[in-house]
This record gives sequence, structure tokens and C-alpha cells, in this order.
Amino acid sequence: MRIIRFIIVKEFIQIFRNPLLVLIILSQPFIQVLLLGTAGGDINYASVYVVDEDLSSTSREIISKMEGSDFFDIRGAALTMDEAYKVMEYKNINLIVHFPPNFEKKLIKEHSSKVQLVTNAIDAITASLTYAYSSEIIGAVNKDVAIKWGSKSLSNKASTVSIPYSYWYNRALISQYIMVPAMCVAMVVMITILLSGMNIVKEKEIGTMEQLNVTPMRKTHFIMGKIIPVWIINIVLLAIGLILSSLVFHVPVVGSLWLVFFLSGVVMFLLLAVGVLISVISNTQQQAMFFTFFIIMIFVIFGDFITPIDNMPSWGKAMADLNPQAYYSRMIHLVITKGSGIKDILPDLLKVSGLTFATLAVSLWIFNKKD
Amino acid sequence: MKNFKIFKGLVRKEFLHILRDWRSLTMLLGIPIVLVLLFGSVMTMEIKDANIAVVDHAKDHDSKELINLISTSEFFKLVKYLDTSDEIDEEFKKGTIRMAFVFDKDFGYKLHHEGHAQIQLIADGSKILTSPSLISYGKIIINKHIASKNPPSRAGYYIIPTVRMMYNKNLNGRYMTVPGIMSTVILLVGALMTSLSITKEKELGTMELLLSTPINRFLIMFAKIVPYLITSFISALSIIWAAKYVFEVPVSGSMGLLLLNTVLYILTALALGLLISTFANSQLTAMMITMTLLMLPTEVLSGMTFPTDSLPVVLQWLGKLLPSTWFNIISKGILLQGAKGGSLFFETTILVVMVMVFYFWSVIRFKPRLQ
Amino acid sequence: MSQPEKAYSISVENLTKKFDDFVAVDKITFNVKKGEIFGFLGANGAGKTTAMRMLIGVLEPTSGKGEVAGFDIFKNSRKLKKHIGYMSQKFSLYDDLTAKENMRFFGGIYGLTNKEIRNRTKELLTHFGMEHIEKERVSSLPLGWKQKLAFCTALMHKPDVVFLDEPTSGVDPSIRRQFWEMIYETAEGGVTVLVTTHNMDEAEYCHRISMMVAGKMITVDTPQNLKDKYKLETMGEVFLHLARGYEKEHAITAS
Ligand SMILES: Nc1ncnc2c1ncn2[C@@H]1O[C@H](COP(=O)(O)OP(=O)(O)OP(=O)(O)O)[C@@H](O)[C@H]1O
Ligand SMILES: [Mg+2]
Repeated sequence: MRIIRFIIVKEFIQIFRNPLLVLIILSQPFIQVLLLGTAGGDINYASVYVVDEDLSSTSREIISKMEGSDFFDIRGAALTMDEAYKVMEYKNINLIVHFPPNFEKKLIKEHSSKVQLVTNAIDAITASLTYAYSSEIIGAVNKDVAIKWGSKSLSNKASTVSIPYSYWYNRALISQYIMVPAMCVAMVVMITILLSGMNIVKEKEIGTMEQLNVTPMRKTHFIMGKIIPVWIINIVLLAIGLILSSLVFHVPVVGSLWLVFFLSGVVMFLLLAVGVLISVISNTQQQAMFFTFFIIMIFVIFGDFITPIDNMPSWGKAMADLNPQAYYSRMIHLVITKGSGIKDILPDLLKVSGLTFATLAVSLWIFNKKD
Repeated sequence: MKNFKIFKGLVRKEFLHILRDWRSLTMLLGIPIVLVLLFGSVMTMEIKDANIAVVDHAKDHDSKELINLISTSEFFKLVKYLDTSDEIDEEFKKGTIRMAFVFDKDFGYKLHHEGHAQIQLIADGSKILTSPSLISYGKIIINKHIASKNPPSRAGYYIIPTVRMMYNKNLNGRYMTVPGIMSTVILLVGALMTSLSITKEKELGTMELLLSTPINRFLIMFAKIVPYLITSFISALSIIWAAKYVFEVPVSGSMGLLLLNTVLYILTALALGLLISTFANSQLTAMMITMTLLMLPTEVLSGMTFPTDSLPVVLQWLGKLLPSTWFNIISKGILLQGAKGGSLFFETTILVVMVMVFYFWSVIRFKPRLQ
Repeated sequence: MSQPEKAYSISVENLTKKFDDFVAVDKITFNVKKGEIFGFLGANGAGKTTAMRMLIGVLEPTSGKGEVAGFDIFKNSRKLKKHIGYMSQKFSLYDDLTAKENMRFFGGIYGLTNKEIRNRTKELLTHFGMEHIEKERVSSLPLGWKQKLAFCTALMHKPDVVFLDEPTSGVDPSIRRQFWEMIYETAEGGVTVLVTTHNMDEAEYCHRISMMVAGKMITVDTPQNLKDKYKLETMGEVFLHLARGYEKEHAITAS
């Protein structure tokens, strides 16, 4: 125990001797959480060009409804489709709405008429949302038109269904409530692995590891002494991140804040174990850098951060089951946004602990086998 | 001529350095392509067979018919019938469902006799990336069905949207994500490699030694990055191969133009790494700076997954400082829209300016300090 | 701690290390008495470091026997480590810590109490005339001072045997002399010193030396005896003579 303390003190002295490093570490919550937390992650915008060859009241109603919505931004109008296509290519417009001549006349006479929607589908998600939202607007106009021109008698009226919808746990669908905790998670994952992995390898590279091997110190003590400072630093970073998220973004914490720290502390040990594993299999900091980068990218990819796990094929979901970031982000959202208690996250916590022991066992095995 | 000889010698030395460490070399060439393959395969926002629950208070013919229609659609998969709306919370917390449809009591009766009924849609607001699409798809299915149920005599007026998806007929999400991950990986690997290896030389003191020789500093710096230019280009080729043959992203424009721009982009990444190394005082700080400034920011701000238009204005501007934002426009333009050099002149120029600024700035900062 | 008084502080028999097929250390046998300064002499790649790393318990020998400070190097490597000090060929203190912080850290690792650490640091630094660098960062010290500090650090826990791997390479002659004075003082205190070098002048300072060529120990004796035996002036000449002789002999047996 005393030995671990000596190592921890040494680590902290070394960190604080490097003001640049301290600055970079402390800037993390501000860069990753404060700045990037404002990035929505939701798609709330599509730019529109209009080609209205009908110029009727119905076409105008559709256009004005689009203008009225937050989602669509009408950037301009073109006289011909060719012109509009050019705009799409050069300015990356998301949608062209085209009303053919006699659009309204046809609607009155034949009870149905077509409007053409041309979407820029490179970004498939925006394209499908654009289609969905414009269909909604057109549906609403259909109802209005039916009321305006349709028969007044009840028995002759088309029956309708109203579809109220709600988003639970985040009624106004405020993306920051989700994005900010997710950024805290991403920050902790990145910094924990980075600091622990590189830091141990550094001792190998500068030769102090050889010196330490000659001492009677146990390797487990060495590893504990190395990871505990990183654990403390990350708890501090998380605290700063959470303070920012409540002061600046007013993210409501429905569950217990203690639980957030408790589960973070547990997950951090898994991340530290990953860092230790990286340091054990690398000989130089450059190799550790590659492993670290690779692992962090994998964790992000399978971490429900920018890539929804829900939409993944089953092997992707299986990968996510091994991913600390996926567990972490799921538990954080359960506690922070849904107010879950320890009971709800217990299964995840147990799996995380299992993974931690497995990772540590493998690292120590390799570590001891080496010399 | 003499300079060229020295240059060749320097490049050879750097090359040997890379080739000797086979583990790093494997990772240098292997990691980018593996990440692209993984990310491209799992990253999709397309919704297919999303698990849903139904609370059917009506249990009549109409509700059953609609439920059947919903659960057989490609978007949804019915996994649970619930008795009360309270149970939805539990299911959300367990993560078994992504959306719930709640049918009012007497749904069918109200629909036929009062001309108006209600279905409530409930989605999980903590899944900001996918929930809005789920709600939209639900609405579209319901509306279509109700409209078709209205007898012709009662038919209203229907404006029917016809859709044309430009550049990406099948709404393939990979068209956006594959070029996105490509730019992220190239940028990060390039910047990490140069910043770490040069910082290491700074630590060892060999950099100071080289710079105090009468050899032109611009040449020394360039010699340092040439090997990485080549390795990065090889991995870029493998990524483009994967994009074309594995993910079937079309190459509508000129391949030559794409490769030329890729080289330019790689140079930007390497020059940025060079610049970072002038600020870093250890390999750890070099890696921390690079990861902090590039990893999450490129993923969030440069249009890799989220369209940049949906970001807050401040972040849009910050995104413009990232080389990846510009390369994303270029690569998507060439691959998907078949853009010619002319229409990408602006973006290319920006990359050229970035290379110049990063490179010259680093060379200036690397002035050997004479004591 | 009542150790049975051993005749030898280090005794090694047929110690061998193979890296795959390559024999880095080939059946070396020697004994070192308590308080003796024993030198390993040999060219680059002769196997000095490899031999030493086996004796300090960080490298597992392929075969042979070895006992250091009364502990078997195969069985008791952890206990052994408490009783030995090591200064590696590559400088290996923390650059970003001060001299005192380094000593404190290593003292702590060896399980010394705070009081012991304080006293021992003071004792060593004053004894070797290094008090003034106590608060200096190691990175700012000249190489010679760094090496002296590394030596002090290796002595923190009062080891019975210290292993010094090329402690004076790259150090200027005046500091080198000071360093050897430190070694002598230490040995007079009853500490056994095993030191490697390829500096022939230094070899003269050792009580006894062994010469290593290609993993083999070709001779073990006092410098004076060796010079007398071959009727040569300096150890450098002795070494050249022996190494050439060995190579020739080898060339003959090989052909
Ligand atoms: N881990 C290892 N794997 C393979 N070969 C090794 C290993 N360690 C050392 N060697 C080889 O064993 C031989 C002896 O090396 P050693 O470091 O012991 O020599 P040395 O006498 O200390 O030389 P120097 O004066 O350069 O320090 C060398 O040829 C070296 O390449
Ligand atoms: Mg050696």
C-alpha cells in the first residue's frame, strides 16, 4: 500500500511539472463538453429551392407552411428545373419542390395531383427526414383543402386520425440534454485510455521500467500506482463536465448524481484496464499511440455516440456488448435522463466488472510472461 | 544537386526507421482500412425492423388491421403487446422497444361514427438521432392507411408527393459515412504519425542536431514527412478501393482528380502534425493535442455523420477550420456528384492555403535555438 | 537478519543465456568475495549486460547456477532484489523529478520508512559531496552528476551487492575519477561491486577482472597478475592479446 502511495505521488509530481499537459487535460471539459456539446447530433435543417410553375393558392400554401416550419429553410426559387438542379450541384441544396403547371386545376378536377420532391440524397438521413417532413406538411394541406372545398355534411366528410406524439424523457427533444452527457462519456473514455496507456509505455521507452524491475516492487502495485492518478484526474474532469452541463446547458439529472459518479468510477477501471493492456502489448509510445487510436475509434464506432447501435446488424450489436463506451453511455443515459436506479443498471455494472477483471487478468498474464 | 543528395539520404533514413518497426508499420497501413470497413458496415441511420410495442385499448377490427399493417412494414417489428401505457416506461428502460403505438378506446367506432380517432405515438427522447424518423414513418403509414380506407364518395383531395432521390437512389447511408470516415482516419493517422515521431526526435535531441546543420530547414522538414506521405497514400488507396468495391460508392467524377486531392489532403494532415509537434513537449502531449483537436471535432463538425448545416453557427465556423470539412465536400463532390475540378476550386484552394500555413509556421517555429 | 556468513557474495557456475539459437552468455563461472570490486571487461556485444541482467533477477537464465547475496537467482528473485542495487547502462532516473525526489521514490519502492529515506538521502548526498544538487531537476544536471546520482539511488536501501553497467561511459575523466572514489568507499563499507566497462584504464581499478569475448569468459584474475603473466604494460594490451588469441584459436577449431 505504501509503495502504491509513493508511485501515486511521483505520478502527480510528474504531471504537474508539465504545465502544458495540465493545460491540455483541464481544457478537455471545455473543448469536448462545452463546445462540442452544443452540436446537436439531431438533424434540424434542410435547405429548399422552389420551382413553382403553377403559382396557385394551393402551391403557395404548401410553400408558406414549409417556410413556417423550423426544419425547412427556403433559400430561393428557380424558374426551371434545370436551373434548380444546377443550384443543387453547386450549393448542395437539400430539396427542390416542383409544382408542375395546372397543379391546382388538376387537384380540383381529379381530386388528386402530383408535386415533385427532388432530394439531395448523399446524406441519406437528411433525405429521408426531408421526405418525411414534407409528406407531413402535404398531409396537413390535404386536410385543409378538404375542409375548404369538401362537403360540409359530417357523413360525407373523410374520416381522419389525429396522431399526437411525444418523446419521453426529453419532451422537447432538446439534443443538448443527450449530447452533453454523451460528450462527457466520450471525453472520459478518451482521456482515461490515453493517459494510462501512453504513461506506462513511457517508462519502458525511457528505461526506468528496467530500473523498477530490479526493485522488489510487485507489478500489481506498479499498475495500481499508475492508474489511480488517472482515475482521480478523470473523476475531476467528469465533475467539471457535469457542472458545465448543469450550469450552461441546464441538463436535468433525473437520477442520483452519486450514482453517476459511482458508475463512472467503475467504468473508469475498465477503461484503465484497457490502457494497461495497450501498454503491456506495446514497446514504444508510437505503438501505444496506434493501439490507443484504434481502440478509441472502435469504442466510438460501437459506442452509440454517432452511430446508433439500434440500427446495427447483429454482429455490430455483439461488438457493442464488449464495448466499455457503449455500457457507459447506456448507463449514464439511464441514470441522467431516465432516472434509473442502481437496480436497473446492475446487470450492466456486473458485466463491466467482469470485463475489467478479464482485461486485467490478460494484461497481468502478458506482463508477467514477458520477462 | 548536393541538397538533393542530402534530401535523399534523409528520406532513406526516415524510411528505414518506419520499416524496421514492423508492428507500427502493420498498424500504420492496417488500421485505416479496418476502421473504414468496420465503420462503413455498421454505420447506418436507415431504420429497419425497429422494435415496437402496442397498447391497444380498442382491440377492434380497425385497430388490429392497422397494427398488422404497421408490424409488417419494413420499418417496424412488433415485439410486445402491453396492457397499459405505464408499462412503456419499463420497456424503454430495459431497452426492449424503441417506440410505442397507443390506440384509443373505441378506435374503430370513433373513426367510423365520429369521423375522428386518435393514435398516440411515443418514442424515446434520449435517442435524438433516430426517434424523429421513427415518429415520421409511423405517421406516414397511418395516414396512408386511413386515406385509403375512405370510400371514394367521401374522398378528399390528395396532393401526392412523388420523390426523386438525387445522387443516391437507394438512400444508401454509406454514401455519406464512407467518405466521412475516410477523411477522419487519414487526417488523424497522418497528424498522429508526424506529431509523435517528430516530438520523439525532439525528446531525444536529434531534431535540434539536424536543425543546427547547414541543411535547409524546409528540406529537412519535408524529408521527415515524405515517408508518411507514401504510407498514407497507400492506405488512402486501400480505403478508396474499399469504398468502391466493398461499399459500392460510385465514382462519378474523375479518379485522377480524387487522388490528386487526396495527396493534397494527406499533406495537410502531415503538415498539421508537424505544427503540433512544435508545440508539444512530449509524445504524450503531442498525442493529447492531436486527439483533442481532431478526433471528436472531425467526427462531429466536419460532416462525417451529421450534416454541417444542422450545427450551431459557431460550430459551423470552427468546422471550417478543420481540413476534413473541406475534404469531405471535395470527396463527396467527386465521388457522388461527379464534380469537375472547377466547381471544387474554392475547397481545393483552402486546402492548399492550409498546407502552406501549417508548413511554414512549423518551419519558422523550429528555428534552432542557438545558445 | 542473521545470514549465514557466506564465503562468496556472488557465485556463478556455468551460467548460460540463449536467445533462440544465439548464445549471448556461454557457461560462465566465477566467484566474487564480499567487498570485492569485480570488473566485467568486454567489447560491445560480448554479453556483459546479459550476464548482469541474469544476476539481478530480471532475465531468466537458460541453464547454470547462480547465487547472489545468498539467494538463488532462479528461486528467490524477489527476495534477492531487496539486497542488490543496480545502475543500468541506459540512464534510468526520472528526468522531470529532482535528485531528492528520485531518491525518495526509489527508497519508498524498496520499502524504507520516511525517516530512513530522509536520513539515507542526507547521508549519501553529504558523503559524496552532492548536497547542492538535491533540489535540481535531473534533466538539468550534467551527465557525470546524473551518473553519480544514479549510483546514490542504487545505494539507498543499503544493498549487499551493487551492479553497475558501464557507469562511466561518456563521462569526463575528472568525474570518472570521482566516481571510482565513490566505488572504492562503497566497497570499503563491505558492499560487493560488480562493474562492467570497456574502458581499459578503468579495468586497472578493479580488484579482479574477467574478460568476456562472444559470451565466453576467457580469463579471470587480478589486473596485476594478468599484466605479469603476459608481460605487458597495460590492461588494454592484455585484452587485445587475449582477444586475438581467442579468435585465432577459434578460427583454427572452426576450420
Ligand atoms: N533480448 C535479446 N534478444 C536477442 N538478442 C539479445 C537480447 N539481448 C541481447 N542480445 C544479444 O546478445 C548479445 C550480447 O548483448 P549484451 O547487451 O549483453 O552485450 P554487452 O556486452 O553488454 O555490450 P555493450 O558493451 O554494447 O553493452 C548481443 O549480440 C545482443 O544483440
Ligand atoms: Mg551492455
